[in-house]
Amino acid sequence: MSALVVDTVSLSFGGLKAVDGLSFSVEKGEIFTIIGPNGAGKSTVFNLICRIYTPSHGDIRLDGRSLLDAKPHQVVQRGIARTFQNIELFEHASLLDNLLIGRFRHGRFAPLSELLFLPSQRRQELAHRRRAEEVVEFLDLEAHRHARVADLPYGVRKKVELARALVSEPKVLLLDEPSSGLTAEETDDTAFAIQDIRDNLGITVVMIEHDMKLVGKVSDRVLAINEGRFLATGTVGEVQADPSVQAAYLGAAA
Amino acid sequence: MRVLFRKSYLQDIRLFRDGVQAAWYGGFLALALSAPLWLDGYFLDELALVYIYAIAGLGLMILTGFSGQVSFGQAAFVAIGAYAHTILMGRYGLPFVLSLPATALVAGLAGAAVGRVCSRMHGLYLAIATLSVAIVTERLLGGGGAFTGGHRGLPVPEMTILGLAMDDSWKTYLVNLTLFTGAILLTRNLLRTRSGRALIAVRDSEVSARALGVNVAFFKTWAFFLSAAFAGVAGAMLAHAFYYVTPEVFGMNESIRLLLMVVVGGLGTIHGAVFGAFFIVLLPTVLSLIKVWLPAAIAQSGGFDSLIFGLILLVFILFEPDGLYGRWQKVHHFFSVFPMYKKRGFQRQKTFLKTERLR
Repeated sequence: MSALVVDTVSLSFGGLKAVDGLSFSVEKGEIFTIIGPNGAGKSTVFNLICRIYTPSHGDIRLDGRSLLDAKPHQVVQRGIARTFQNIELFEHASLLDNLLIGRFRHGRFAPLSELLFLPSQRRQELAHRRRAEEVVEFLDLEAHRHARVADLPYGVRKKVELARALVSEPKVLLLDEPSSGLTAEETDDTAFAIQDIRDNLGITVVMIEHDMKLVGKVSDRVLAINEGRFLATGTVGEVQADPSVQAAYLGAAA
Repeated sequence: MRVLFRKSYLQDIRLFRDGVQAAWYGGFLALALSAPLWLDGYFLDELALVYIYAIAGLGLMILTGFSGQVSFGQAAFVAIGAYAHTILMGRYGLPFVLSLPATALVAGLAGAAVGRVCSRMHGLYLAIATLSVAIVTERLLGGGGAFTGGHRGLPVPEMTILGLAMDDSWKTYLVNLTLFTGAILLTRNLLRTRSGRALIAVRDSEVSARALGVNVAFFKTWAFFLSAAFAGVAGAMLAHAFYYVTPEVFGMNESIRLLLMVVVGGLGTIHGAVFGAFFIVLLPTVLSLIKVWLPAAIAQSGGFDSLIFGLILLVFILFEPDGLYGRWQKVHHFFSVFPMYKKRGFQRQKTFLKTERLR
């Protein structure tokens, strides 16, 4: 059964068609990668799914239910978590606080009980902390638990962002270039982490990625897009062999 | 140097890190409680004023320090608090214990209304919008006719708590100390729970706060509500300290003074609000003591106080943006790791890739 369906979605900025009648569907428990040259509209697709942009045409469905009636802050409640291409962490808070903010959707606004720190709050805090700690262990972040995020090296911050998305316990995880700016070893770690996320946690992963080695290692299916339009879908080999994909990356043969 | 060995999650959730820290703050509280025994009336009143300003400062810290919204309008909510309390007690005969929470609510709702309107503004635009709130509030109170007493103001009724007249310096001092301690506890509790973290999320990155489920506009409004409620309580106590409320006391200058207080104290920390309150309340007193030693031509010139105030601010912004509390942390760190202190330890890594930010 399809977890996430993008159904003939279009979006224009003025005269520019950023996404043009794009359709694809991601199966439950799949690792699905979107590739395409610069400016192909990959991040725009993520921003559409996260409701930062509203499509001018088409529908986006999660588990059969349209996402278009959700406000941007309600998307995570439906079970979609994401990371950003340029790390968007809470720089002046500790790693743990970042993860605890990731638990936001698993709480309720209870002003009095929060201001007075009633025993129920203490219990909730402990529970959130325990969940956060599981993710810390899952991604080997123990050493940095109490460090301020602004002080951490780039590779670790990238991991923290992944961790923050994971603690919200999503059904679908959107990763925007998880390996950009990472060293070769860190990229390998990321590949293992992505596989573990799917195999052990059962989360469907949709990612945008340029590193074809990483794409080949982890993805079940790949979607290639260019100028907001569908090019090809299939396994890595199939997509790479597709003449329209080669034309998009290298230019058409004369 | 103490190294903290963590054995349970509660250690990070509790108010105090360890017994040593708890002992320090317990000592401070004991010192503050016993102040009436060893301070004479004038200094006791000054200290009470520090607590009042610290309450307003904590409110502004929630708004500016934690949720990242600059406000030049905090004095407006202090004024609303002072007037609401005076009118509720004087005209409607509400007892102090009911009037104070009602005042907090009135000021908080006024704050929430401003916050809701401003929830899409950032930086300079927000500063201008809140500044206009301060100016408009001052004018409205001045032109309020018999209801607000116009520019002549209103006399503040005597403070009586459950039949006990608070007619002595030490009595009002203890009331202010209680409220101040309460305000600190509320702020601490806020920061270790979900809404407090949501405020910090909104401050550091609105786009990822939203992606994690934080309703940004709502929590900005909530920050305004809390901030104004704190300011309202501070205003009510200020009214009692001055015995008389007039619109001029809560003008634009007061707003700027309040903002300077949190900046000089150290943005984003509870300590900062308290340090800042000591700074702005005690500086005029210290200056008047210094003036005795200065030649009359300098000491009696009009702008002397403002000059010193401005200079100190300039020095802080240029050399210690982390404020008094930041400086204290460095000094503390210097001694705790002596002789291994490195200046670099406090230098922050530059953040790259901030160009393509979404709001």
